[in-house]
Amino acid sequence: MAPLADDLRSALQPYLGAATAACVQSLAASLGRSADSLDAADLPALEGQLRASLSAVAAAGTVDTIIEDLRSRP
Amino acid sequence: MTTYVVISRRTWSIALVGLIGLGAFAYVVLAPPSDAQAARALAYLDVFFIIASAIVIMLVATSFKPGEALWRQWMLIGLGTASFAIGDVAWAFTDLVLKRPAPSPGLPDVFYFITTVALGVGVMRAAIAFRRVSVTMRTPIVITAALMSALVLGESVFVLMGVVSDPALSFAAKALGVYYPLADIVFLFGPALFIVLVVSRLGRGSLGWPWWAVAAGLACMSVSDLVFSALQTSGSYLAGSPVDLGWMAGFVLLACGASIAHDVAHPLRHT
Repeated sequence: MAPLADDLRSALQPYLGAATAACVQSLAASLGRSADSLDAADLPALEGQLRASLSAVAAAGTVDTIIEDLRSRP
Repeated sequence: MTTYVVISRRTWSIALVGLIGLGAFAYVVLAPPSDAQAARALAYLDVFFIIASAIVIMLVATSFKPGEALWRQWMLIGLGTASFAIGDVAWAFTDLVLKRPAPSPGLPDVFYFITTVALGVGVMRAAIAFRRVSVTMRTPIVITAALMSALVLGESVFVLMGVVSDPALSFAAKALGVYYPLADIVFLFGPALFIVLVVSRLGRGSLGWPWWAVAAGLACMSVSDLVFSALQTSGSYLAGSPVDLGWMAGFVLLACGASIAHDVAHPLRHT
């Protein structure tokens, strides 16, 4: 299974482009983790952080789509 | 499932109609019809496009959930555009219906004042919001502040001193003569530069796409405003001058930006 951080990067890349890596690191840090140590158990908390961060720059529908994309990954 | 954003046909159509309108208006401005009455009426052709732009932006703004960040940002930009359109309608009404020169300072200036503030605040809010997704703000702030300071200083020395010390101008005319050039830098040029520097950090990231169009629009308006304030202070501005092309292009670009924001908010899914 691909690490959660990779899935997160893939889901965010179309929207955040070159800022994706910094955003993923920041999201992981907000959960007290490093990006590469994120795992499936972090997903619920990560979704909350993702929603809080992205809602400032993206429509609610876009954030829902990104989260759905993240959940749908194997 | 993967998602991706495409620019919709609606956005391309808005850009195309805007481009055709700009071409038609440029033709009217550069080669006005010989009939003076027709020429005066056609000098306000741009107002229809600015009203249409305001409608597009407001429709996009209301497509977001009330209270969410994008709703507030685009509502402010829509308010600024609508306010400019109302100011232009008031100007055209005075000129075409009341058949007298639009007073300056006058009622339209109230709406133009609202325009600059609403656009500047809306775009700055959008730019600063990118801090939430870890886009660094320090370099954009430093560059914008440095350039704005240099421009304000240069403008103070070469333009504003002349306006303030001109004994032929009333207090209100002096106030406007100072306000417009400063507002161009503070509310139009500064936010345009700042958001470009911020969203350039995203590279090809689609959340930045709408703001490139908005920044280009503000830049067009900023140039037009600067020329307008010089012409207005010397009393030589007339509706239908090439200056109006910059405003029209600016608001069409804002409408394109709004439509792109709608496209980004509705990504396509591929499984």
